Amino acid sequence: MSKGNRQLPDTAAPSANSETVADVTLLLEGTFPYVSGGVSSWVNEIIRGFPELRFAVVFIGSRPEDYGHMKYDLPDNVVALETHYLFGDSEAPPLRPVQADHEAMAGVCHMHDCFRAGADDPQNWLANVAAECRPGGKLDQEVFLHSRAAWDYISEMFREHCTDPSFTDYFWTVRTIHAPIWTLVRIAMNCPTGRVYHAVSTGYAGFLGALLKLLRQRPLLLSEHGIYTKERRIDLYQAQWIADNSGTFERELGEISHFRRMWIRFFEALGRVTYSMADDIVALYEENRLRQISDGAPPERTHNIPNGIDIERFAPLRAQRPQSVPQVFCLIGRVVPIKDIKTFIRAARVVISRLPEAQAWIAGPQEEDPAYAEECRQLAEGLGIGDKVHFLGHQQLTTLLPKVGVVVLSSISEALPLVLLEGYAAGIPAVTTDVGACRQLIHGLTEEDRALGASGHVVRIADPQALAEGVHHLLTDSDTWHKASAAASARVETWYTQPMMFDSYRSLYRKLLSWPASDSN
Amino acid sequence: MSELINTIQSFPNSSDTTLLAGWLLGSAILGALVATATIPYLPYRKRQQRTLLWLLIFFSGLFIPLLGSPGVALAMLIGMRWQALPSRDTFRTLDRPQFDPIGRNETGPSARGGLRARITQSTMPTEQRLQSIAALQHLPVMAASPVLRTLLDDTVDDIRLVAFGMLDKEEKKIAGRIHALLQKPVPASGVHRYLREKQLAELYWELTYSGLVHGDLRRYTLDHALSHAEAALAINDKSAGMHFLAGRILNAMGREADAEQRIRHATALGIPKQRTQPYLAEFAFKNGDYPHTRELLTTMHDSQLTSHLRPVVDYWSPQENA
Amino acid sequence: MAGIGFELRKLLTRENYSGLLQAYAYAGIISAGPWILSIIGILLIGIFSIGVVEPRSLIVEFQMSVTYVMASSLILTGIVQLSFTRFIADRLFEKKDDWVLPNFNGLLLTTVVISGIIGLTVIVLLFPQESVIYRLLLLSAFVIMCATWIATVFLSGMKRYKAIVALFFVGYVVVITTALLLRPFGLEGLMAGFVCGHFLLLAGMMTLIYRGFRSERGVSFDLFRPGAMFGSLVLTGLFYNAAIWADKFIFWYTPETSQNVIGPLRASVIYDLPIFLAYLAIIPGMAVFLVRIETDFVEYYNKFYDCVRDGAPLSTIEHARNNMARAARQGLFDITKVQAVTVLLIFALGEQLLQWLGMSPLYLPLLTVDVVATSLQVVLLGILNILFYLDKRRMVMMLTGLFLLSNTVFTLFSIQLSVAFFGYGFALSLLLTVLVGLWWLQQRFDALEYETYMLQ
Repeated sequence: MSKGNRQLPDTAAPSANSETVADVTLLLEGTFPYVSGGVSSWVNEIIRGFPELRFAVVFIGSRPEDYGHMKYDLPDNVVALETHYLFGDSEAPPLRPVQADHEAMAGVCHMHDCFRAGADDPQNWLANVAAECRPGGKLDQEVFLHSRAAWDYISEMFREHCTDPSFTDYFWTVRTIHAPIWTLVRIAMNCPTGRVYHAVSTGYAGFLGALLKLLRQRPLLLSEHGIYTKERRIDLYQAQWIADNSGTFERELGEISHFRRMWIRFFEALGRVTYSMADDIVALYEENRLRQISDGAPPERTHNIPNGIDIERFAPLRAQRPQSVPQVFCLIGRVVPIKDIKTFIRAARVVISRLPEAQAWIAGPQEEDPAYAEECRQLAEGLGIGDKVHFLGHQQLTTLLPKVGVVVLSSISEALPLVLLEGYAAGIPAVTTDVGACRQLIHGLTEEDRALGASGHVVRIADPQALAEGVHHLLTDSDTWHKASAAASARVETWYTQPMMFDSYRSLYRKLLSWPASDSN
Repeated sequence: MSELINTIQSFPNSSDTTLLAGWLLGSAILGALVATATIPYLPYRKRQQRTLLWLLIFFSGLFIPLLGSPGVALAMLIGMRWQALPSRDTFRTLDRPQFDPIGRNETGPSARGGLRARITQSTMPTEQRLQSIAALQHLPVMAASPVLRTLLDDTVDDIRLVAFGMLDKEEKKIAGRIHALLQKPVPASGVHRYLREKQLAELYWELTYSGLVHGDLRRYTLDHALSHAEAALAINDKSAGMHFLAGRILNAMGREADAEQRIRHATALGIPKQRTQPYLAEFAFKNGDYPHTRELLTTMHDSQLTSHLRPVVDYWSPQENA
Repeated sequence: MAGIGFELRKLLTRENYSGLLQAYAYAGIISAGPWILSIIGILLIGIFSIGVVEPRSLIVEFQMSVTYVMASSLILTGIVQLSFTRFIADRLFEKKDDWVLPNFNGLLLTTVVISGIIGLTVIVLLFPQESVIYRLLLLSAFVIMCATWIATVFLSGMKRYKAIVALFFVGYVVVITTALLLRPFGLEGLMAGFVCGHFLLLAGMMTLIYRGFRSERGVSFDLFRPGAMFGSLVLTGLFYNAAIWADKFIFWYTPETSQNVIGPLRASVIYDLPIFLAYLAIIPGMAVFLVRIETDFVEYYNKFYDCVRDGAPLSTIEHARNNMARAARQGLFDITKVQAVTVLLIFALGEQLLQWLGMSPLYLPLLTVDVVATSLQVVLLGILNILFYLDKRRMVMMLTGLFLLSNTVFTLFSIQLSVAFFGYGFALSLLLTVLVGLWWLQQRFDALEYETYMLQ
């Protein structure tokens, strides 16, 4: 199920890695170094920004076949990289039924009641999981998968709670949801020891961090870019694979699939456990911090540290731009549904109808969701702008940005997108959807910030007309463009620089590296 | 074979054993002859396959003297040359569906009613609103899409996302069908070309009619719908339905005079008046020809009308008791 | 954004129920049915030959030759019967229809060669005193029977029961007519009749098979690749067929209960006739078995797995499970009922029956025990069949193993006692196996959903 890539054997005995090997162990789910994107770039920056610290990286993925080769070179201060997959191939079932411990099953009941009731005592619950779910524990994975007691429990739960008629779907949902817990306990027992555990999301990575804090008694730092539970929610609302078996006659108006709710509840529970165990919880901007609190984060441990970028890298690009505004509007991001590339393409149709010389670029990898990328290409063809919409693949920003007139973001969900800041640093205004911190990035957050003026336009999601009008306005009105460009440069230089971000993290790391974990709770 | 004969001959009871060996030798020769004669008539050409089938006939002949080889060869010849392939899976019988009473009594009748109000009311708990939104799936897209669009700038993230997902799904469905049609090679025969153009016109029309496209894109889509409708009419000028569709598209594009002409033509070709008259009445109204409007709507008074149309017709019809 | 790409779809839609596999394997066991027809045929030939074929011992020689051919061919092909039907059923399930014919031919070729070599060795080494014609006919009969069982198993796997029965009927009409025509030639004449009729039967079956299936390949041996056959099914086929014959062989080769017939073949005058008569008494049970299990049980069985596949509520699944268990119980009970009536009839009318057949009334106690035993054997068939449907191959293997072991041990023991206990070994062995089988079946049904979901 897992394989160590560098230096460390993966399935060693629990005590094998007791020696401290890293200052900071980063717990990453589906990002650096195998997937490129905003969070991955951020992780890359952080590691390179602290050359004096030794980092270990624990990557958690879904299945090996979902990832290709590494997208980033590992910095020299990464001393260990471990790769684990939560949904590998399952093993053949045993021939004989597995006997379950009665007390352990009572524990499971309690554990589930906690999940259901809203988890009043996540720490205690976690301690139980860590103690019993390890191999040979009372709640070994075998017990969960194959014991009669687990079967009785699952069928009883179905009878009591499930509103979807399909028992088979319920059964497999229960299995798939819970299977990673055992894998994570195993990972936690063998993971490289760090003086600080730094999880870059809640979810599975955060849960692993919580387990590590409990087992290793070292502090846990949590940085959340998006809000994990919210993003999973989006995935789940749009997922077609989750069955909803109630027939039209049997379903009350407005019932949401029971299985979606099960998944959502599960991720919420993971979030609560992570929040309760984390010593410091970092959000990118205020709204997300409030959301964390409402999801169970203790307010006194939360902070806002906005993303910061390397201004020196992008500022020189301003001079490379031709005198007139380049008639190119560009979306920088992965070609995936959450970026709503289709709305961008539709907007492109509108812009190009009015401004035939304009070009629409999409700069970002397409391999993550090839089916969606194909749909996007079909859409561009179908709208008759196949020759105007360019899918560029992954691009070096320093060569790309000087040719771009407007950076566009059509996402249906974002946090505090780095690409806007990078565009700003190169003096490029933006048109974005009203998601995450985008409004704050366009219009400013504080009074002082707002005084800098708008650095583009904010429109509602899935509105190609409005998006197109924003882009068209900036591309054709040179005066507005220059004002927005100036505001953009000023905004990023004042509020979103790398030194500011590094300073904040430096003080957090310093505090946590010296603090015994037990004191902070 | 000679080894076998030698072995057999080495047994003491020689006269008997010789006879046995002779029989076997004869059977072997017969088997080989029959097999060699049969193989060319079997529907197998590959050498290895022929060898194996040859062996099957040969050994049957060897171990079943006299009968074996001709019998097996005959079975193969008859069976393989007169194939009667059983048809598999032509029909599948389905069981009667069973009504499952589970989950029926979860929520009472109080949960119904005022769907739109419940959805757009931001004071309602999000969870309840989400559930109400899911119920929109059961409405026609045309009715659901305006509500969903208003939700796209709701304050609650989840609501926005669910609304987006649902709109996107509907759009994707139609776009997928359009794409599939366009991918197919243009058929040669007029009838099939007509069908293709007709379907494309209808699909583009459905996109606008369902309220899934807006602004410039709506105009763009209507242009496409009209051009496909015209292409279809170029193949078959007599299609009343196509003329009616073209009329409605023109109306949506704001070209009312053209639209009116088309719809009149469609009526002449046989579209029921009940469907065309509301449009004609609207054109008359817009032209300021109120008596004609009244005349058209009055004739509709006794027909079955949708709940949208009923009050309009009632308003324009002369009061019976007056 | 961070997070595992939600590529779990495959995990959920993966077909995880091996219960999907229609266990066609039982068809192999059912196919043992046609040999009832052969018993009748052989008995008839015997009866009609009395007075024509002289001396009378020739008739016994003929009957025993044929019986040995039957027994040995069933045991030999038992090794592949079940695993072959399962192999074919699995290929058909995978829609690989074109695998069917070449593997039938491959198995047929293998069977002809192996049975031919064994037969040749036997007639050369063990029958040196007999005439060449007799020895060749014996060899032919053995090879034909082995090939016939393979073809029968194949056709019953295709559910062509009617065709099988029709062909057997035609075959036996020919067997009887030819045998009667050739009566003047004595033992060889009777044997020639048997061989001709059976060969016609075989050729007819092959024609039917070649007509029904087509393939690019004529012959192939995929069946013999490692892992293509289930080991448990190989053993089950062997155990079952060996178990049926174990008590007979013991009686044939125990000096006190047997006498020499021809060559190395021996017979047991005391034991043989009643047991073969008793097999005729299972006809009503077999009929009920086919109807009950093939229609009622299979219907509920399909409903149960449809519920699992199509996502029914647990209560509906349990309901379907209960219906299936009830259908199984009902089926077994009905077999028992109809066989009980048969046993009672034998009790009441046995003496007259024996008289009518010209047999000594001394046979009656043994006949009664044997009818009880063969009736239990039908029940056992039903149990094995249901277990095959539930894909409990190991359990079937253990049951048939138990049957073989207990039949051997009990029969040996009963021979030590006295004539009064003859037949009890066979009957008690079946009783034991049936009781154990029922008990296991009950357990399987109780834990059916658990095992379907958690252990597959």
